[in-house]
Amino acid sequence: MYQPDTFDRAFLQARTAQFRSQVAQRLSGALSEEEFRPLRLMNGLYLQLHAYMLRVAIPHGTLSSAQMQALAEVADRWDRGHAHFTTRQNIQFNWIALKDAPDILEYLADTGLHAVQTSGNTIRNVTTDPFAGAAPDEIADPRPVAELVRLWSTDHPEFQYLPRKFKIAVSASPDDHAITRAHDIGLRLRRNENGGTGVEISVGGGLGRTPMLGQVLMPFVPLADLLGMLEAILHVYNRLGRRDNRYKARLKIAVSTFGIDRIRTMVVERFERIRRHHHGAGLKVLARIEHFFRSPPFARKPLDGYAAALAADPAFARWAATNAAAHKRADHAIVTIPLKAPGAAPGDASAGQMRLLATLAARYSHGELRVTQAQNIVLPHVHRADLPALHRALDGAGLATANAGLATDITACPGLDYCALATARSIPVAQEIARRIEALKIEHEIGPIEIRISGCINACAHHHLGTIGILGLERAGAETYQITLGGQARAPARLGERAGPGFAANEIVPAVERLLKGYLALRKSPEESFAACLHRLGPRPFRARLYPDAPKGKHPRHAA
Amino acid sequence: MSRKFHPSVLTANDLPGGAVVYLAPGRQWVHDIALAEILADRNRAEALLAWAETRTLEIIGACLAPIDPASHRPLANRERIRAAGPFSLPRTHAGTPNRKESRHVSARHL
Repeated sequence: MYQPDTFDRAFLQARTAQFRSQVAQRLSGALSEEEFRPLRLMNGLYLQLHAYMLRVAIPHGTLSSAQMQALAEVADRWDRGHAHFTTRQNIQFNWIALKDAPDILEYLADTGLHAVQTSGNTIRNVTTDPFAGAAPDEIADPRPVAELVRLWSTDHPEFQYLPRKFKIAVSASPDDHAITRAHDIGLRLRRNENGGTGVEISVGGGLGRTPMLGQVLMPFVPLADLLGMLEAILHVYNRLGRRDNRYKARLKIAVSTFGIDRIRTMVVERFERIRRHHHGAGLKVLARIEHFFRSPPFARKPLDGYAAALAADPAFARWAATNAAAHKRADHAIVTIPLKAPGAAPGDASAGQMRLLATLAARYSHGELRVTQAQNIVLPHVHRADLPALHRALDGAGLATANAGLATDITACPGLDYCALATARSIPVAQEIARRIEALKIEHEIGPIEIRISGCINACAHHHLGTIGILGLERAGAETYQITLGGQARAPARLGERAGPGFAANEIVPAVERLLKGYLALRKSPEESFAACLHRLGPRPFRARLYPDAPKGKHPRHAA
Repeated sequence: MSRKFHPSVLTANDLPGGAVVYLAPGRQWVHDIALAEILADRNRAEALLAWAETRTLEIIGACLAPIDPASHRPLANRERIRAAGPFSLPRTHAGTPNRKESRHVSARHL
């Protein structure tokens, strides 16, 4: 894991002291709210419906046990005993007092955690594959590159006041767990014909009110030129981004307006001007960073107990089949711990659960945890011999739900229960859908599926990428939920298409149930997934299930 | 022509803590909407809003929230949730809500 050096620590201490002074000035009246607001946002502090919310970054989604313990302590000491893991590998505390925020940040800085650039029109937390360093199909661990980009972008003087927020993700596996195509810049590690490592760069991805997938700007950029190319892209965006209209200010709009070829020409022109200053920049730092991401010392243990548990304990066997993914070492597993027990608020964890996860990571996963884009926790390096004991410990804490990647593993933003931007609730809808699926006992029969629920057009739950996406809106004072079908987060990423008119809050759960049951009736075999069935048949038979009362042959598309 | 004025309460967030507050009679800030003053007169409501906007060391984001005077219930969904708290508070793994103000209401009940 990355270890902050003296420079990093000094930077965080100075930043915290600066924010403490800014908070004091606001509380004394020396700073107006208008002056203070951008300063608090730069430090991840929002004002939400019920309180201030502090968003803390989890760079490249990696936490040590000590960091998870520190986050649990924040939840207990300054929040109300729980926290919320987000779809961008951040953690949010929903009940923070402004006056406490400097103390929290000072406390977290001791473990290398911070809230720098988790808000505002800057380069946000750099995200990556939660299976990084453990996945059998990656060409290299993407985290050193993600860390290099994080170090480069933190407090970068040219990019603190961008036209709009800016998101970068890094991936190194064909499945693209980091969803790079949905980011302003997506970096996918590649090897060229000589075996050299570089990155494919895509630009212009993003969801929100104008969902677009990124387009390839450069098929292969050597690592020696990566920072120079990023500088060039950000420079071009800084010039082209619409500062007059926040709804058209993201890079995706500039790419759409000017076209990828013209953007490429401008980027290359800028890159050629700065290349000699940047070529090779970061390689020395990258070599130092890579040292921190070496594989842990994997143990060798007999697997007899694991095999016996699989044979003797059906609940364990089902959990292992669903939640334990293949590791690059055959005798290890990557364990996903869903924060999605049916009826729970997706992504929420109590301080007690967080402490247990930290302890279990120390015991079974070399002290390392990951946070996923699906709001779950991952223990990346668990020996299969330890899986039965891990399962028992999780089961006692309500964390052994065998639903990773299944229908109750629902991704949901905080929605109108907490968020000042939301237009509808999302967590209660997710809870109701999960409870209904649990009651029907059809989850394992349905198999892999992604249900994603956003409480507003900003799409924090990435509903466009859900096999079933749900968007909550307000229409004439009432919550309405639109369904999109056929989205996909993993490569090849696809945006879902709106199925038709929205559903009222009391109609959305039965609508999803009709879709799920419809799939079971329509699939040609149990091996055909919901997504594959939808792809084969198209949306028409699914729309017929969603809108059974529509006139035959005239299933509504975009009315209302 | 100006829009019809609904009886409203004056609401904001407390500056140092962030909690939801309402203006009660006597220009006191309270947390319970049931104690808030119902402002039925547009001129008085707008005057109090202008006053609240000067209280920059006490509160943030002052606004008028239309309510049903009989029930003291806000008309807008967002304000109902601000008044009642989130509908979806997490449970401890023992299965009990982890704070007294939690209130679980299913989607079908709004």
